[in-house]
Formats: sequence, C-alpha cells, structure tokens
Amino acid sequence: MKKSLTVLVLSLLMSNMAHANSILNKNSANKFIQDFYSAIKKHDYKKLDLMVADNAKIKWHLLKMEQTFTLSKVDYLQQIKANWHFASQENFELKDINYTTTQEGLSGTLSLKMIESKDILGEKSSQEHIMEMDLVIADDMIKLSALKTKTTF
Amino acid sequence: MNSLFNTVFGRAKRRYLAIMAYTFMLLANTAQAQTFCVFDVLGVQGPFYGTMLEYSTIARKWGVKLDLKPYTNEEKAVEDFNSGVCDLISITGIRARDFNLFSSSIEAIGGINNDAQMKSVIETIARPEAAKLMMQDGYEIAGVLPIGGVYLFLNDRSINSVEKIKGKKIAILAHDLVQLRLAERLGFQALAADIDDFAIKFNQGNADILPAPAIAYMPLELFKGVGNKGLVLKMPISYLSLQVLLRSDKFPANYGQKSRTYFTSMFDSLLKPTRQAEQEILYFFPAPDGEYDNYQALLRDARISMTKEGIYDAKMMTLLKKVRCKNEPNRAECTDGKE
Repeated sequence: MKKSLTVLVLSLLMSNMAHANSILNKNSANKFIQDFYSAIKKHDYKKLDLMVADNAKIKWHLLKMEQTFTLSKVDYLQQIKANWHFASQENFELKDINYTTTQEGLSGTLSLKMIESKDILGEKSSQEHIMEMDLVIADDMIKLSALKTKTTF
Repeated sequence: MNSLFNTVFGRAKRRYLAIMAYTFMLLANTAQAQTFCVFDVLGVQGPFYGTMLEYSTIARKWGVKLDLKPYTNEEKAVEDFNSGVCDLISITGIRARDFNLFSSSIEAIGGINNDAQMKSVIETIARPEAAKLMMQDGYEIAGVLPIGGVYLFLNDRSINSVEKIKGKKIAILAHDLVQLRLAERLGFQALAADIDDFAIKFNQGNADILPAPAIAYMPLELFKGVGNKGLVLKMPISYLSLQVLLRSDKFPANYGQKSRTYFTSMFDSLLKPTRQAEQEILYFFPAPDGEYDNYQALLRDARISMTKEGIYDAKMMTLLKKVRCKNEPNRAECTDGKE
C-alpha cells in the first residue's frame, strides 16, 4: 500500500514537471522564438516541423505590392527548405519582442521585428519583417499556430 | 476400355496440339522484337528512359520483347514512329494529340488541379471499360504517365493578378498549336521558342512568364529567370503527361490493357521525381488572397472555348470536371452544366 502510494505521488510529481516544461509564458515564448530561428540557421527541418502546428496559417503581406499570400505549413516549410539550398550567410536579427497572453499558460502572441539578411542568387538581400506569432500548447509543447508578417520582401 | 483409352488419348492429343499451336503463335509474335522509341531530353540517363527500361522487362513477361531506342529529339521520334521505324513510342501528351485527342486532352488548361485528381483520371481511363477510347485509327494509348503540374514562372511578383498578367510576354513552344491558342485566350503576348531556347528566353529576361513543370526547374536553371524579384505561382495551369503509344497490329490483343494497368499501378513512384523537384522551387507561392477564383475562371473560360473549337475532347472534359468536383465539391463550377 505504502509502495503504491509512493509510486502514485512520484508519477503525479513527474506529470506536473512535464506540464511545467510546456507552460506558455513570456520566458518560454522568448525561448521558443530564439530556438525557432536557431533551427532555421542550423537547417534542422525535423525541429521546425515539430515547432509548427499542422494546421498553422501563415499570412505574408507584401508591403510593396499591397498583397497577401496565405501559406499552409507545408508551403511555409518548403520555402524555408528551398532557401537553405539557394541562400548562404543567413542571419536573423530579432528586435522589440513583446509577449501578450491570450489564455494563461496555454496561448499567447509574440510580436517582434525581424531583420533577415542573406546572400541569395548572387545578391545580398536584406528584408524587414513585422511579425505576429500566435503560440499554443499542443502535444505538450509550444507550437506556432499562426504567423502574420508584413514584409519588405 | 479401348474406347475409354481412345477418348482419353484423343483428348490428350488434341490438348497437346493446341498447346503446340499456341506456343508457335507466341514464338511467332515474339520472334521479332518490337522497337520502342523512347523520348527523354536526358537520353539514356534520363528518368523516363529508366522507367521504360523497367517496363520492357515487364513486357517480356507478357511475351513481348522490346528493343529500346533513345531519342533526345521528340520530333524525330514521332517522325520515326510515323515512318514505321518504331512500333511503340513514348512522347509527351502534346505530341500524342495527333494520335488520340481523348487521352491528350488530359493536359487541358485548368483541367486538373492536383496529383490526387491526376491519379483518379489515369485510373479511370485505364479501366477495361474505357479501352475503346484509348484506341484510334490503328493506334492505341498503352499508358499515361504523370509528369506533374505546369506552373507559371514570373520574373516580377508585381504581376500578381489576372488583370496584370494580360499583355505580358510568355515563352511558348512554337510547334504547339494548343499553347499558342492558349496564350491568345489568356491575353498573353506569345513569344515563340523551341525547346532549346524556351528557357533561355525567360532566363535572359526576354519573356516575363514561362509555363513549365517543376522537373524543368533545376536542369534549366529557371531560378535565374525568377531571380529575387519574381515568383512561381503554386497553382498548376495544366498537368503534363507522358504517353505510350503503340501500333495495334504489332502487338498481341490485350497488350495495351495490361500495359495501361501496369503504368497506373506505378503512379506514385513515377511522380516521385516531380515531388522532389517541387521541394526545390524558391519563391513558390499560392495565388495571392482573393485571386485564386479569378485565375480559375480565366482558365475555365479558355478551356470551354477551346473545347468548342475541337482543340480538347468533350468526353475528357466531362470526366475531368467529374473528378475535380468529386475532389473539391465546393467549386463554383460544380453546380452548373457547362462542361
């Protein structure tokens, strides 16, 4: 009886710890965004695939053209991967990061400015992105569920 | 007892003679190998040649020996088929038009929107009930293989609507009447090119738009033409196919059906190179928000008028619409009877 009670308490503690790892707050959201761009720089497709929710919607608003493109997760990750093939010296500068909670511990929105620079197709390219990233807890981890970006692309 | 012996022996004798006759017939059919002219821009190193080499080993099991002859020039392959040098030929759907309008119309503008629809159409036309439609004037389509969607490669992403696309210079293959009519219908300014300078015209900036399949992207370096200011519209305007065509009198009956069934079963593996090529395309975006329906309407109008002119086969158009509407029942076209 004593033994089974100990096992129960231990498993409860462990489950709480696991849950604690995936609570969404300002710190974990900040860590998420740093990890996300680090995975892009390291060409870690598996990690990115896990970090983006399957039904994520990505909206790219092109400022010059005043036009929006809606991409699925598949479209978005394909573009990231194609960039790996053609681009080098990729760098992401993240600025003005703000986190807003929408549902305590479960969902929130990160807003930030990202300056992307790279050498691509024989040219040096620099683009500014004003971004809003919706984050949620899914499968016991933080995932990107929506991305809206206004870009000079 | 004697009569029973004679009956049994007589039956065995007749059976023996029948087997011998059948064997002689098979030998007569296979004694001379059939020449299979295979078009592949990359010659014997190309993926289509490899596919056909594999197919020839399967054909052997059906009692037909195929001698493969590679062609990097499709026009020459067709000439040789017409003059009797080849008994079987694999060519693009565009060229198959002269031999079977029904099967070549699978490539109709806006007819197929994704791989699942292409698979469904190929499966349907490979059924024995559709065999008659695959035969015409002594020729038979012995297989339809998917090459993948044709995408619009643009050198400027400000060409971002149906209105802005009109009047732009598009590189098209000069030998293809369908492309020429299509360019007129869609309001493009057609720039005739041959297969050798088709991509060069786009990469050097002489053409604003190039319609091409994903498998052409890396070999023809189309990323140079798109550059950092262009875009590839992730919305196939048509689906390309490779078609295997035979002279009916040179093959055993039912060979064509076996062959069509074989190629249909290979659909997913045949499409693998295309799926890989699609992964490599940079700036590969769907139509801008609010523009998809406009593009679809434009393609549809062109398709309907080209069917009326006899450029596309009406039966195939009906089948394509059924497949589109089964796959995407909410399409606006599914509630009208225009096709």
